[in-house]
Order: sequence, then structure tokens, then C-alpha cells
Amino acid sequence: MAASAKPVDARDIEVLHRPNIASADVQLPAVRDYEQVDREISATLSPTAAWYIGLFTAVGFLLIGIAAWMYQIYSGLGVAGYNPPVMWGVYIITFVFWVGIGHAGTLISAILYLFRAGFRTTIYRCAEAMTVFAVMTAGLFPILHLGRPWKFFWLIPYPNWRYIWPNFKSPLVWDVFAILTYLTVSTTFLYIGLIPDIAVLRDRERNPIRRRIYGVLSLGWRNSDREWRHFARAYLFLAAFSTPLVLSVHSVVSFDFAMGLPPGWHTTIFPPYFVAGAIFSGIGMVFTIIIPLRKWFRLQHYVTLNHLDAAAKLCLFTSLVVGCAYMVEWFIAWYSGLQVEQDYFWNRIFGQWWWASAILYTCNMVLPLSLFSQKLRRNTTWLFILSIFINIGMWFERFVIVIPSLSHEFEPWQWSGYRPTWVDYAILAGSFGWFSMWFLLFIKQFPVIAIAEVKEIVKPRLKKPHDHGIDVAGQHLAFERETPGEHE
Amino acid sequence: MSSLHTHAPHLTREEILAGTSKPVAAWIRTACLVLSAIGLLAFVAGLFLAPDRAWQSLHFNWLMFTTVSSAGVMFVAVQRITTARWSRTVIRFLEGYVAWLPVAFVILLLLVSVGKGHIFPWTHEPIPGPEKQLYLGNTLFFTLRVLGVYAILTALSVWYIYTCVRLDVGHSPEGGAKWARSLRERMRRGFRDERREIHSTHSLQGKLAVVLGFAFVFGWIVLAWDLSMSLDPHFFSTMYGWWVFMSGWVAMLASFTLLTMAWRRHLRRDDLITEHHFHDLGKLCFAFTAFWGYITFGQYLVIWYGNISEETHWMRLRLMDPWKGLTLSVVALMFVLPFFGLLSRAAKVYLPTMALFATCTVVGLWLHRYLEIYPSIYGAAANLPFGVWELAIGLGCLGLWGLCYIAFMDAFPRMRVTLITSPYRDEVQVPVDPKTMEPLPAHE
Repeated sequence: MAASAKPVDARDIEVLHRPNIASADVQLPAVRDYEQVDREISATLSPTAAWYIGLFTAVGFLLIGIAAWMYQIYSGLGVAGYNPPVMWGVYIITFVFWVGIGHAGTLISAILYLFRAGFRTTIYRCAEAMTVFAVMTAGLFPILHLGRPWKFFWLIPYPNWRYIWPNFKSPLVWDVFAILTYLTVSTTFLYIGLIPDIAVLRDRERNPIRRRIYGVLSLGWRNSDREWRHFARAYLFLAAFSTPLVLSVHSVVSFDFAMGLPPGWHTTIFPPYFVAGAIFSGIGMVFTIIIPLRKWFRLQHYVTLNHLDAAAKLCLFTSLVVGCAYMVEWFIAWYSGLQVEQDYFWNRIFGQWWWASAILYTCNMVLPLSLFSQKLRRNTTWLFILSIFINIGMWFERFVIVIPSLSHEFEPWQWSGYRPTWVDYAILAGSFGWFSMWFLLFIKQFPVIAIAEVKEIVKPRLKKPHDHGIDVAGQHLAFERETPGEHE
Repeated sequence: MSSLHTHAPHLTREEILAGTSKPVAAWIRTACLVLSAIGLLAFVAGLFLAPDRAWQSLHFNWLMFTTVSSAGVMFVAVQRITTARWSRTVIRFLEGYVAWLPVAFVILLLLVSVGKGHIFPWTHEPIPGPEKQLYLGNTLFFTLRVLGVYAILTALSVWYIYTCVRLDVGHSPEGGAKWARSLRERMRRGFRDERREIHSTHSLQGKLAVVLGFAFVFGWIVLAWDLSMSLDPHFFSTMYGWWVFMSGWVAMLASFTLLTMAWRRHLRRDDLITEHHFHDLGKLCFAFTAFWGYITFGQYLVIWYGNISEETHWMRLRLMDPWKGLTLSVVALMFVLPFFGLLSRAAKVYLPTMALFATCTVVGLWLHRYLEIYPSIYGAAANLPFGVWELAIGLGCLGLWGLCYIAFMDAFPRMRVTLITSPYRDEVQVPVDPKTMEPLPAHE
């Protein structure tokens, strides 16, 4: 993905050094006007050779995954590394991993929107798209895990001709509801936010077919006051609606474990701890994606160091929450006096699975502590490296939750090990291919930075003072005359 | 919640100081004194007539007032962590919560020394298992742990609020309650130019707030285990610590809202304490009410579904007579009423409804703390052990808490005048170079 947007010119560099802020919101000192925003952000849509290489690589990985799955269907689930009683393996781990990734998008776009956190503006679109594709990826894994995947629709509660209903007491069925709801709402949220931006693309598009498609997708957006009023209402409503979903989805995923009795699974802290972990992993993935993206697209003056700094603080916070939950678990396992729990934790941390636990604790608890340093929070190279560690750490967190519990249950004669096979690895790689493919396709059809929201913080050029408290110089008037809708 | 909701940017520091310094009405102080006296009398009488109940009542009331006060200071620190501006005119009303914490230390000292045998069943019953024998049965370990953790928490809280208040006292004319004169003098000593002080205080507070955050979370988790969960030594729940301090957090927000209303009436400064503040506070109350509902239900569901005796007995007892009614009341007061009540914007900014639901939360928390302690001691009792001891000592703690709060509020500026009026107030909103005080470059 070579540079496709206009590079930052010398004038921009000059502006960078002016005191860039007089408000808590993260501002964009090098973005001067609306035309620049339209030009630079829509320029990211033209395909480049690097993008094609990226897409073909992603599709290549996807094909490897598909081939492995076909082989698995043909040969049976035995080719995956299942080793009774460890009947949940890489597929369930990867399922939870991807659902978790899918949390940061809605957190950043909805919860931070409700909190009026300015640093979300230029990263939320990317995070939201990531959410939708991550949930789409996660949704594949319960199906991959089925012996007869073509029967997956049995989980959907329709009254079929045999009067068989799914078992509503099973958390696995709750998952179906929670994840489908989340996918629906987060897709709607992504789309609603895209409408004004699609209208911008429509107006700039020269190809008549694409122009027509953008025209339909933008729902005839004409930028009128009335449209904006409805838009703001709808967006706020959806943000409020999505917020509990962020909590509910991963809580329900945590119930898949916490409702069971195996040692290490049945623990009350799981719902909020899973949610915090999910957000942590999601922010990790946001860094993994957005740091190269801002460099390739030359969008450093949109996704500024201040944005990354603030997001890194959120990352650190969630890491601390997760770390706190780990420590509480250790203590309660000891305090409970239950030998099974104690033995299990010993085996998890110091015994059979020590290496997995070591990876987990290093990546999730120790390395993120580096974010206490402002220098490192503003060092994009370190953030990128750390984000890779976080992705690895969070995958291993789910590994450490799933495998050690199943391989070390109540009866010693049941104790066993687990080793993934090449089929597991191929399908894991395929999931990354599937996710990357969708993401790469997305970034060439839609802007990765919200044009409309960026314009809200760029000074407009006006001939006369505006009704909404903006003077001729484009400054927002102080205090009571704020941006419209801010206090709604 | 990023902007400063005040309509009075033109006011000078002196005007704000003068306009917000009206002393607290004498009748409120008298009422607090009377309530404290009632509580003290009841406690002393209880020591002779029903010593167990007196100590147990003091214990659950201590938990109630201390979790709320400590959460209040933590919320002040959160304002720094998030560089919030919306709260500058109201946050001092919450900073006053710190005044209870040292007094609570003295009460805690009594609870874990003299009152321990009356409160904790495991002091005179066999402790199950060697782990709990070590953790609870070792008196020295238990006492030092509880007192040490709480002392650290208190010291950090006092230090943090000191830094907040110092910034306003530094350049303000002398005034306020006499007891704090030397404290104010100390704050003025070595106070440099305003811009430098805003930056250095911001920097210090950034570090302190994080350390306080650690102390708050880990401290209250340990205190929740020791002072609340251990009442039933057979029970354990990983969520318990979070549940205890987050319930205090909700009631802190509710009580903060109530006090902000009272201050607005008292000071008559509708220009400084605006509808937007109540909207924001209402949103916070609503959000954390939902969060309380979430973790409470999450904990309940996991325990119910798992159905293992170590956990279910704790829930089951509270859902049996005579406790059942109170348990359901807590659910109604802390979740159902405020959650559905505060859904709309209108309910948040119309003060009577906001006051009603905030009161529900505070009363709900009081019963919440009662239910953490009493059922574990009394088991399936025939009658509800709730009466004059609980009420009178509860009122006594309320009075004492009020006295501490008033003493603080009368001694220091009632608003963050420096951060409301200083021309440099917003410089610290973005990362700055500590030496030059200029913003760091926005990007590479």
C-alpha cells in the first residue's frame, strides 16, 4: 500500500509546532479545511500494487484455511488435535479470540462517543469495521467445530417439523443470540456512521456505476439540517443501544465457561473480566491495524500521536483490569481451600501449562506496563510491537482458560494433554486471511477515517458568523454556545 | 462530558471565592451534632445492653460510609486521569468526602481490636481449612493487613486532595474555618507562579492518581474479603471485591448528586452549577446503576447455574426469610427504580426526580451493606435483627460524617477557582513538555 494521499507539506509541518490545543478534545493542527479532508481521506481509496499484494496474500491464507476445513469435513473432526477429554481446542480458543477483538470497535465508537472522548474521532471507523469483520470471523468457528457443520442452523430457534427446539438453558444458545444481535447492531452502527461519508464519495465519484451504488448507499443524503438532526439522534440512540451489548456479548461468551464446573472455569468474576480482556485485545488489534495504515496512507496528521497516546492509556487500563482479575483468581483459588482448584491453578501456572501461562502473563500483564511511560505511548514502533504481543497474549489467555481446565479436571485418570495439529493451525491462519480480506476490501470502498466527524473539529471557512456558535474565524464561541447537540 | 458547563467565564477568582463562601447553615451543623450524639449514646448503651448488635451495626455502617467516601476521592482522581473539565465547579463538593477517612481509621481501629469478637463469627467458631486458618485465624496478620491497607488508602487520599486544594488556596486571600489556618498557611508556603503550579500539580496528580487507583482497587478488594466476605468463612466469590467497591461507587455518585443539589440551593449559583452538571451526574448514576445491575446479576447467575454448595448457601440464605424482603428491596432500590427512573434526560435534570432516585441508591446501599454482614452472622433467624441499634448508629455515623464534611467545606474554597479562572487552565489538557510547558508535537 504505497502512499496514495497527498504527503504532508512544509506548511503543515510548521503548524505542528504551534500550541495545538485549547480543549480536552484531541485536535488536528495540520488539517486546515474541509477540502483537504475530502481530498486526503478519499485519496486512500485508490488501489495500489501493495494493496493487491496484501489482498492476494490474505486470500491465499483463506484458501489454505478452506482447504484444511474441506479435509477436516472429509476425514472427520479427528484430524483436529482433540484429545479426550480436551474436546474444545483451537477452534473455541480462536472463536473467543475473535469475538474479543470485535469489542474494541463498539467500545471506541459507542462508549467513547457517549463519554465525548475526542480521541475516538479518527480511529473509530477503522475499529468499527474491524469489529464487524472480527465478529464475522468468530461466527465461523462454532460451525468449524461441528462434526456436521451443515446442521448449524439447528441452533436457531424456529419451530421445525420435529418440534425440536434448542436447549435454552445452554449458554451456547445464548451465544447465538448475543453474537447475532451484536453483529446486527454493530453493522448497522457502522453503516449509519458511513452515510454522510458515502455521500462525499458519491459527489466525488466519476464512474457512473460506482456513483449510482454510492448514491443508493448514501440514502440520498443531501447534507440538510433536517438530515443531520435525524442522523445525530439515530447515532446517539445506536451508541446508547450498543453500549450494553458490548458488555453482554463477552459476558455471555464467558458464561460458556463459567456456567460449567471444571476447575478454573466456574468463577464469578468471568463476565466483567472477559469484557475487559476483550476490550484490551480489541485495542491491541486496533493498534496492529492503524499504525501501519496511518503510515501507508500518510494519515499521521489525522491519527496523531495524541490519539495513540490516549488509546494507549485505555489499553493500559484494560490490561490492569485483566491483571487484577488474574490476581483475584489466584487468591480465591488458594483461599477457597478446594484442593481441585488449588491443584488446577498450580498445574496451570507452574506445571504442565507453565509455558502458556508465562506467555499470557508476560504479554498481558507485564509488557503493557511499559505504557506508563509517555515516551513509549508516543512511540509508534513500540506500540506496534506491543500490539503484536497483546494479540499473542490474548490468544494464549483463551488457550490457558480452555485447555488446562479440560485437561486437568476432577479425576486424575482423565488428565491428559493437548497438541494442535496442522489442520488447527491452517484454519487459524485461514481466519486471519478471511478477516484481512474483508478489511482490505473495505478500506478501498469506504473511508477508514470518518470524513464527517473530522470536519466537525476542523475550522469551517464562513462568510458570516454561523448560527451554531461559530464565528467568522471558524472558532467555536465559548461556553454556552457549544457545538449543537453536545448536551442532548 | 468534555466541556466546562459554566455560563460565567467572566467571573474573577475573587468573585467566585466571595460568591461561594457562605457558611453552612447553623441548623445543619446542629442536626449533625444531634445525630452524632444519638449515635454515640446508642452505641454506648448498646455496649452494655446488646454489645454484639452495637458492634455489628457500627461495622456495617463503617463499610457503608467508608466505601462511599473512599470512592469519592477516587472519583476526584479519575477527573485527573481523564483530564475532565466538566466537573471543575462541582468537584470540590466531592473532595470533602476525604474528611471522613481519617475518622474512619479510628473507628476501624476499634472494630478490629475491641469489636472483633462481636463481629466476626470465625473468632469464636472453628475456621474451615488451613488456608483460612492462616488468613483469618492469625490475629496479627489480620489486624496489620486491614489497618495497613486502610492506612495507605487514607494517606494517599488525603495527599491527593491536599494537592487539589493547595492549588486554590495558594493565591487566594486568607479565609475559612479556623482549625485549618495552619494547613492553609502551609499550602501557601513555597507556592510559585500560577502557571508553573498548575503544570507541576497536574504532573504530580497524574502520578498520584494512578497510585491511588491501585490502592483503591486492590485495597478495597482485600478489605472486602476481610471485612465483608469473611463474615461467612465458607463462602468465596471472585467478583466479591469488585462488587463491594463498585456498589460504593454508585452510591458515591448518587450522594454527590444530592450534595451538589444542596450546594446549589445554598450558594444560589445557578450560573456555576448548571443543568448540564445534573445531566452529567444523572448519566453517571444511570451508567453505574446499570453496571451494578450487571455485576450483581452476573455473580448471581454464575452461582445459581453452578449450584455448588460453597457458593449457593450465601445467596440462598439471603433469599430466605427473614432476609428476603430486604434483599429484594436492595435490588429495587439500587437497580430497578434508578435504572428505569433515570432513563430519560428529563428525569436527570428535573431535580425532584433525580433526588428521589439518588436517595433510592443511597438507602439501597445502606441495606446492601447490612445484608453483607448480618445474614452471615445470624443465619436463618426467626426474626429480622434490625431495630434501634442499626438505625441509631446509622444516624450517628451520618451525623459524624456530616460534621467531618462541613468542617472540610468551611475550611477551603468551595470550587476549583484556579482551574475555573486561570488563563493557563487548559494547557494541561494535552501532553506537554514538562520543562517548557509547551505541547508535544502532535505527530511525527
